[in-house]
Amino acid sequence: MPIYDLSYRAYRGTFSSHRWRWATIAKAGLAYYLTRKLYLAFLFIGLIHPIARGVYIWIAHSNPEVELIKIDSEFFRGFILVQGFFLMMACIWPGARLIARDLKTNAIQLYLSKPLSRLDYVVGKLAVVAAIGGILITAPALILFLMELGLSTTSVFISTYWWLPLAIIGYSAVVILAAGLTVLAASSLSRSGAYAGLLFFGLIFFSQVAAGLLVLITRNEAFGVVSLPDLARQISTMFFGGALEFGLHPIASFLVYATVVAVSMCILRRRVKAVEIVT
Amino acid sequence: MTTETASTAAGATARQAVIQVEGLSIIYGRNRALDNVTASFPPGAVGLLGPNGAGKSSLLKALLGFLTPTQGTARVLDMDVAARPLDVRQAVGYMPEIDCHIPGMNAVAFTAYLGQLCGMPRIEAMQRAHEALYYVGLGDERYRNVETYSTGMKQRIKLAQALVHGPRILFLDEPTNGLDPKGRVDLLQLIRDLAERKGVNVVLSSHLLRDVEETCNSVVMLSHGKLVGQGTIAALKEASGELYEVRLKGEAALQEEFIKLMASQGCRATASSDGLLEVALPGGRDSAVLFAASRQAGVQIRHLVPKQPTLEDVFARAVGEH
Repeated sequence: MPIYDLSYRAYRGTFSSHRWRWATIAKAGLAYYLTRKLYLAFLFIGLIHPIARGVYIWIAHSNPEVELIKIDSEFFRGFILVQGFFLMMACIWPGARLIARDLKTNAIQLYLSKPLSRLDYVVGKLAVVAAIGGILITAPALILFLMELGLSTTSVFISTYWWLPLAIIGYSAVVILAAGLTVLAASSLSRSGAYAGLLFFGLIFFSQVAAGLLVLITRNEAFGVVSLPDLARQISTMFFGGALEFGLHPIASFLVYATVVAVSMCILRRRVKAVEIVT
Repeated sequence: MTTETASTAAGATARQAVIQVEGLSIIYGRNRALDNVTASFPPGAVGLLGPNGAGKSSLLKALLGFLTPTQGTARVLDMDVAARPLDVRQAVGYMPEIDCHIPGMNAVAFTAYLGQLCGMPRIEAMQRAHEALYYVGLGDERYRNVETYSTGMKQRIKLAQALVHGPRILFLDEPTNGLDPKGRVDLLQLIRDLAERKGVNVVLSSHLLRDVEETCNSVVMLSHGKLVGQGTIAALKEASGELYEVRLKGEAALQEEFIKLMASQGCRATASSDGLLEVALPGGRDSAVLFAASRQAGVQIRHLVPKQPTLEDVFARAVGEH
């Protein structure tokens, strides 16, 4: 039978609104990675530290006579900073591949030939990094908070640290947004996920080297915020309290942060296009 | 009737046109990809013709809202592309020229995913993906990873993804690129079937005149970014006047003189194989002009056969006039 004899009919169903199209990209991206054993193994390794912290909280409450580190805002800040390492790993894999793979296979033109805006596309990809960041940072931190709350026999913890969930969510969002946008920008600059990952890693590494050199030359610790990991530490003190590490005004730190985000968004705006124009 | 009058006739049907472009210009640096193009695409299958670099792909990309015109407007199904690009893309299926796919997916997952991106519910997108893949002849291969597909299969899956959400218009950019003769015939049959029986409006962009002639009723012709003709193929052929195959006897210099005389009369004479000349007479002229020119040049006409003009003749004439 000739192939054209097989039927084709017009679609009579309804279409969902444009508002949530990005979620389809996010779901497909997550499904791709969460069905791979190697990636699940990575996530499991990333969750060993939260499990250990959970055990610690349990031990602290079951043996009150044992003197252990106090479970306070610093405990949670420390936890999130350690988990930041796994967020960085998640940015390198799969974050760095998210746009690079589409560039390699010319898929961006396919995406944008559908009723999707460039913003939908970027938000969909960012949501993949954000979801993995949420699994590694936000969700475990909130679970630990609830655990501490549940095991506390007095109301001292909740009355003192009622704001911690907001700090956890706020700081996670800030860090995940910056890391996600930066890695997507790196990913949009290469057709190879490996090179994009190296670029992102290099950016983190060289920002630390540059910060070290600037502090050494100028003898001004404020230049420490040039280092992206140290910038994250600096911003964490604004959410969780504690002394500012570089003696730099919080607004200045946020300006550095906003610059990182703005540069990443500019790169994405230039690179995520249906058509590459060569003049 | 000239190509311009055919263009005017097409303009009369502009009200029912599915696509209308007015004064559209796209400039990249110093390069004018489209130069003040005004055209209307009637319902059915329309060929977008032009040599490589004529601006066909740029026009399609402008109609999809990928490129912002330097000036002019484009309307698809009466929607302004600049104001409602997402609504336009909802109604349009696009088969790109370049090889493209989403990595790590088999054909069903790929097609269903792109259906979902159009807003189809997951289950319906999956059902439509199966149907579209059967329709384009990939039914048996639909669980294979797209990355392992041959060139012909990749062309078919690009058509399937363009069809999955049931578009009202299909933009096909060089759909037969890289296909073997059988694959080309099959794909052109599919395109004809879509336009004639399934009620899908098709814009077929191609530099292959045969592909367009076999599938389309109308054409829009571009050359160097400019519109050089538009209308139904039948009207354009009629407007292209009479065509003759001529063999002359006489010295080469005299034959050259004959060609010059024909050109001065507004006729196009080009040498073809075996020493034959192909002479195109504009509308309103008949073969008497040939005999007059031969007498004047001092050559004898030894062979004179009327020829049916092809789309290639129409196109060559249109490009030559501009």
